[in-house]
Amino acid sequence: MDLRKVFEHTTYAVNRRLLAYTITIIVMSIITSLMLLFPGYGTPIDVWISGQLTIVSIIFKILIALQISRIAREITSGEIQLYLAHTLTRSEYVLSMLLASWFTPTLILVSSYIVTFTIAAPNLVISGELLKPLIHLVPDLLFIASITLFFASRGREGIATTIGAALPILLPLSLSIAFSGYMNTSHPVYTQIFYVFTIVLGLMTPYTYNLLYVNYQNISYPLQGNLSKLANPTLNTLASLALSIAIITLTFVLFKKKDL
Amino acid sequence: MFRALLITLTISVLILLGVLVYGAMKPIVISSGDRGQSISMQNPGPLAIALVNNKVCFLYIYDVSFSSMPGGLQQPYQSLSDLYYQEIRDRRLTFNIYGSAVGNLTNSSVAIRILEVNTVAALELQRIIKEELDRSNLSKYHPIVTDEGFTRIVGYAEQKSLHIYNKCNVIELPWSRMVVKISFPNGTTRNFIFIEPLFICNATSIPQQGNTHVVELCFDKDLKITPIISGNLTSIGEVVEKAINASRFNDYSTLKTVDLYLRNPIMNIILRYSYLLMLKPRLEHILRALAFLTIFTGFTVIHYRFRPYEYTFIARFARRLRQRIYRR
Repeated sequence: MDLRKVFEHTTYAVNRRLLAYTITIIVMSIITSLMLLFPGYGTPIDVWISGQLTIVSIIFKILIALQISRIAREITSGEIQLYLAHTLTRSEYVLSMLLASWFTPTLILVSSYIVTFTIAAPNLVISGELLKPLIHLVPDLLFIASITLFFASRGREGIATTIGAALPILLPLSLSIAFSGYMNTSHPVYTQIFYVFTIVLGLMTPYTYNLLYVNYQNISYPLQGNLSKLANPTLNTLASLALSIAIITLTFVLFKKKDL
Repeated sequence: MFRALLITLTISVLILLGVLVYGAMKPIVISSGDRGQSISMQNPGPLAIALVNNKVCFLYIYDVSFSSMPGGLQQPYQSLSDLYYQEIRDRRLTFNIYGSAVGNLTNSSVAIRILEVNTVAALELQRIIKEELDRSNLSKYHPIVTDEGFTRIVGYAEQKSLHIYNKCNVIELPWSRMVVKISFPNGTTRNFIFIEPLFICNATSIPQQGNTHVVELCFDKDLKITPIISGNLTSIGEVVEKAINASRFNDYSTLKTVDLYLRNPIMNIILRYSYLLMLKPRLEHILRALAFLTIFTGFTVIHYRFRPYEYTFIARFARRLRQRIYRR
């Protein structure tokens, strides 16, 4: 694999998506500024940050999904043939698209976040308070990217776009319901069902899983014991990362064999 | 890739800088309102108690700037960022003296004086109180001093006082109706209605930051009062006399009873203040934003030097702009 070629194609793809990234960062900066103006009286810092980051992460997940689903359009329109004819191998193409559509927005989100808080509240950056949620957010974004990439590389633009746009909203919502159900039900069968759902959905959105886990940890609950049976957020994030890497590897293998 | 990163970061910093500059020019009010908080009466309790002429007087010292005065930001904001600034205004320290009493209540039955002194005078006052307590040696358990000693203490406070607040009008409230449910050994319960007259007396001071309040609270010696928590109706002068005698003869049963009167004072203190929470960026915030802006612009220039073809859109945009201006 020629990394220079990958970098060049990544740069080319990113430049084509620059307008989308610019609009997203403007929206994100406005949200951050609004959050600074309306921090909510008495809100603890971790809740304040997570509220802001949750909104921003949904926007970025949708952006990532929409950008990756463009691969399917390039496949169906035949544009991909131009890249693969002389310059890029299939693996280089997929890797560069992943870098352009997942890595770059993630880098923009993380660096913009760190820069904003270094200016506004450097103590949060120094104490590492800000970095904790980001550790779970990056694999979360990767999972959405890997799922969308899988369908997009099969040439299914409709499925890739629909799943990519729906998952960022549906996954946190479903996980909240499952988590709440698990923490509030004492019936053994329902508890088991909610447990399975929580674990499966937690793998798909480690950021939300961590958020809910920490929130339930901080409040005293009649069924607090249920929480200890769930996976630790760090372990869940690592498992989610492994799952995403597995999906991406499968995508690479299948894309190599695909008849274009 | 680097171009996208640099451009988006520059935009992000620019938007933040805009908010910071706007906030620095005109602080943005996030929230405002009035708050009240009770100040503990137990800690510190009365520092000196004395029978002075026909009155029983209690002396308290409240160092509001250290104990309960909200001087800074609330915890979440303090740890969030130094962007936020909380202004406390219109501090009012209100002493509510209340209880039930029997007899004719007049404005001279209850009197309160709040003397505001500086920290140095407050320290000296505490030393004088200690000296008088040692000299008096009236009680091992309660800070009872002689009338001469009390006059000396209050005299010093008066001499050093910056402000004296003594407006306290006794308001006799309508008869209070108290329903008490009593269970009998045979298992029956009955409701008993007790009727007691209530009185209330308010005094308010406007404390200055860093100052200490000396509070002198005097009751008519014959005023029969009931402490709010529990205890029997008895005259306040009698309580002090009992405390002195019980201490002398180690009568712990009596001491326990009088303690309720002497330690559970029939007043509470409420600090009321209005606050204003603002986003008020300081120069260092703006300088930090400008530093980042300079770094990102600098890197963009360097990137342009190496890969000028990635920036053709700027030339294209400038050309189109020129054409539009030219056409007009």
